[in-house]
This record gives sequence, C-alpha cells and structure tokens, in this order.
Amino acid sequence: MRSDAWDAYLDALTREIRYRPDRAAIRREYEDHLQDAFDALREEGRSEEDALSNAVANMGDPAEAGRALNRSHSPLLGRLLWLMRIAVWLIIPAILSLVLQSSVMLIHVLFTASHGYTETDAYGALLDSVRIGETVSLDNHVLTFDEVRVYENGVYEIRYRDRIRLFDPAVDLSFALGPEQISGGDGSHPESVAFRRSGVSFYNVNQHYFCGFGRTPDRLLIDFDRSDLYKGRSFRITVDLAHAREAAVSSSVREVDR
Amino acid sequence: MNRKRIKKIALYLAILILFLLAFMKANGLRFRPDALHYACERGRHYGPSDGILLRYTPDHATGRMLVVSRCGGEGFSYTMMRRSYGLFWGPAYVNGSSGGFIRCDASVKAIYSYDCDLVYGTVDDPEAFRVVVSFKPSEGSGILIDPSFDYTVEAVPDEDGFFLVENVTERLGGRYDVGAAFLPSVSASCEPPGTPASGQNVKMLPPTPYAEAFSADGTLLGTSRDR
Amino acid sequence: MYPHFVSVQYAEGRYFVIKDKGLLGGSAVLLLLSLLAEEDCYGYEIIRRIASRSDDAFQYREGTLYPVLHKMEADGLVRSYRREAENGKTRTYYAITDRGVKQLATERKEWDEFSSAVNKVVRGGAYAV
Repeated sequence: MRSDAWDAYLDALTREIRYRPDRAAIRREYEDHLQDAFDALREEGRSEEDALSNAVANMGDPAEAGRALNRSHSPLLGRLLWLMRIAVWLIIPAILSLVLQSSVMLIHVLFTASHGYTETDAYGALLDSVRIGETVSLDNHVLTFDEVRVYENGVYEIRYRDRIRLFDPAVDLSFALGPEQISGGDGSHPESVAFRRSGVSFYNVNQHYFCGFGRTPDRLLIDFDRSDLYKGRSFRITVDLAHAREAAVSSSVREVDR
Repeated sequence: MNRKRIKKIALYLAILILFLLAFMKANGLRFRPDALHYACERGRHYGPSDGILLRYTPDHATGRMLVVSRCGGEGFSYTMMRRSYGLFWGPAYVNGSSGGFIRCDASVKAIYSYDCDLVYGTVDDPEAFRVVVSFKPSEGSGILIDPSFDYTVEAVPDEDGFFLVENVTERLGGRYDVGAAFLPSVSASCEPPGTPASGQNVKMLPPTPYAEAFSADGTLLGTSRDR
Repeated sequence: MYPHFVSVQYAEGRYFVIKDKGLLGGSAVLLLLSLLAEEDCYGYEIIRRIASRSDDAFQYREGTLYPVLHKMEADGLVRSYRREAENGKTRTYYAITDRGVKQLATERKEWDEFSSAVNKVVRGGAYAV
C-alpha cells in the first residue's frame, strides 16, 4: 500500500543509490518491510496513522541506510556488468549472423558431424584393404593415414584423417591430397576419381579415390614435397600392396566413368 | 567490491575473449602484420623465413600491406594482407593467392609487385651503390620496344642490401602499365620474361624486371641473371 | 544498547577487531548466517526472529538490516529470490550458500574464542568456554 510518509522515507533512501537500475528492487524490498511492520503494528491494535508513522520511525535514517547500500551497488560494476551482458547476448549473435561464413564454422564446431568412413560399392567389390597406420605432423595438420583399399574396377581408395591443431599459429590453408602426390612404384601418377570429406572443419575424414595407375602397382607412394620452398616440409609414405596385387590381377580392370 | 558482480563480469569477459579468439582463428586474422606473415608461411608448409625486409602500404590502397621477408639466398617470402574489421589483419585474397615463396638465386634479385606498383629486391654485394632496374622487353618477346623510352628506374640499396622503388608506373612516365598482361598479379620468378599472352596491349611491359647493381665508381657488380 | 567494541587487547597480545560497522556492532553476519542456516527467511522475518530469541535485547534501526544482507549477498554468503509466502505476500527470501555455511563456522569459532577470552578476563578461568 502507498503512504506519503513511506514515500518520503523511500525517496530519501533510493536517492542515495548511485546506480539507478538497482533502485527499483531496493525500493520494493523496503516497501515490503514497511508493509510487514505496518501489519504487525495494526495487529497489536494501533490505529492506522500510528502504525504508518511508527513503521517508518523504526527504520531509522533513510540516507544512512541508502549510503550503506551503495557499497554493494557500485555504479562502476553495475555499468560494467551491463556492458558485458550487452556484448555477449547482443553483439555476438549479431556478428555471427552478419558474418555467415564464420558463424557456419562456429555452428559446425558446436555440432559434431559424423566422422566415420563411408563404404561404397560404386567401384565393384572390395578386393583388399591394406592398413597404413602412419601419422604425419605437418605444421598445423596432424594427418593419420589409415588404409588403402583396392576395388575391383582398379580404383584405389586412400583413407586418412586430418586433424587441425587449434593452438597452432599457422593460418590454415587447407590440406588435400592431389594426384600428383600419389604414384605407383613405377612412378606413374593416377587420376583422381572422387573425393569425399566429412566431419567438422578442424577434424575431418577424407576418402580419396584414384584410378589409372597403368600396371597394377606393387606399392603406393604418397609423396608430399615442398622442399623446393625455403625450409619446405616433406613427407613420404610407402604402402606395400604386394599381396593386394595378386588379388587384383585376377579380376578384370575396367575404365570408370567420372 | 561486490564479488558476485565481479565474478559475473569476469565470466562474460572470458566468453567474449574466447569468441574473439575463435573468430580470429576461423577467419585467419591476426593483430599484427608480422604475425600474419609468419602464420601464412606456416600454413603453406614452408619457412619460417629469416627476417622481414619490407612492410609496404601502397598509396592507392591504404588498407593493404605487402610484407616481404628474406629467405637466405634463395629468394623471398611475401604475404599480401589487408585490414579486416578495422582492427585485424587478414589475407588479402581468400582463394590463397595472396602470398608465397619466390625463388630467386641471382646475386641481384628484383621483384615487381603489381598490387603495390613496387619494385623490391636485394643485392648480395655490400659494395653495391646503386641498382638499375629495367623493364625493357627482351628482343623475342613480341612486345614493341619504344626506342625513345627509358624503361628503367633506379634505387639505392640500404645497409642490408635491400632496395625498393615505389610508384613504378608513374616513374616510367605513366604511359605504360607494368605487368597487366600477365595476371595473376604478383610477379613470379626472376627468370627472363617469356612470351606474353596473345592479344595483349603492345604497350604492356613484362612484369619481371632485369636488374643490375653498380658500385660507387660504376663497376658492374652483378645482375639478376647471375647464378 | 549493545556496546560497540572496536578492539580488545589483552595479555597474550591478540586483537579482536570488529570488521563490519552497522547492525549490532559487527556480530551481524554471525547472527544472520545462523538464522539463515536454519531456514530461508525474508527481511522482516529476520528482524522478528532476532527480537523474539533475544527477548528484545536487540532493538535497532531496521533499515540497517538490508545493507548487511546485500553485502553478504555480494560476497556470496547468501543468495536472494522472490517467493510467495503462505499468506499470499511475495517477499524477497534469503538463503545461505555453501560459502556462507563455511563462513558461519569460522565466525562461530571466532565468537567462541572471543567470548571465552572476555569471560576469562572478566570472571576468571572457571568461566572459560
């Protein structure tokens, strides 16, 4: 309930609170208290005027209480917190929606897509799979070459995982295996048939399909060579396909439509 | 003094900082051009290069910067970058052509940057007093040679042997556009120019200049075709 | 009225300094935490309980209660929430936190030491707690 005497008290109290947004809650709390005090005095049998004025009188000096409250309601912290709230809840979504590219990346980060290898039967039956199991650290990439699969149609599939180290200082210019980096034991380069990549932006699973090696290779060379650049990195992985070759020889090799 | 509020402020601040870092990481942004240069080198799996020779902002494109660093005697490493969101530096071209390694083994190296209209390079010989860079097309290139035209610019190398010439097209009289026929832009190696693309404007000049270094008394110390 | 102690020094050289001014000369936090440890209360309820338990020994300006409560909340000893009481009134209730429970234990111990020391000085060793 409202009362002029109470208003005078509450106004004097809230005037001392320097951070304005906190005034409303404080006022409400004190008003509730005055109400409770008033009700108690009325129950004792006091008249309404008496109860009103006594309730206020028992509170003491409003300005002193207001100043004491100020120590927990500093305007500096209040404004700073308000600023931070605005920044996090308004600006971040705004930037995300404006800059779609990076927001898609960030949403990508939040939802882990499936990162398993997917099977295919587009190249005939699977003749053999040779496990590689080698890991190469290439600046910000950690490449794990898992296996090579040989298909009936003369298609070879290289499976590798690419994890980007988030704390590496490099600017990512992504990594992808090209046909010039793959060769059979005789130095012939295949042609790229298909490429599948799945996963999130910083951890993905790559399946690269090649064909056209000429004669069935007895080994596969994955050769990444930047040594022509200044302090360029290189790595080479040799995969022994000897026993896979025996299986391939016995099946016919057909050209694959691209 | 209100510890609860201080904790909340710290928490929100941490979220903001994390967002900022993730944003920068996702877009390849850095605070300093040097950091971006080395980061791009590492992203291309070479380097780090030895020392930065040049941080150049062209007059006509104040938001951009070319950073060039030395790679031993083997050549240069460059990154073309631009101001991003006012505060950061990011790669100038998203498709990845904004930087790389230029191989050059000569004792006098001269590279022309089309983006910056700039010739930069180094001379190995500490005696070198001046460098003369010539854009004269070679005889068999198919470009008409204007006999009245000078085609050269000069520069004085500093104590590291580094030299640069700005606003090249203006210095050449403004009548010739260097390298426009040979896009994509920033010049490649210091090999002698090959045959230009067909149908080009005969007033174009090849983007790969020929340079000679002279000592104080005029002795020829080296050229860009030396090995 | 309850005397306002600023500091007490006695033979062993220990000081008890009242840290908080305002309600009850500094034992305010101890009293409030003890009450809130039993049950969540709102402001007026706290005043009434203190008065009734102390047989009206503590009478003071009620306006000084909330500054202490707000400071305690700012320090993480209590937290506040709005709740509807049985009689339909909505009041701001205060509840003690884990940090508040720890602080209560500390303050109880300090009070015991303090009152024991005072008793020893005033009445001799037999009255030590």
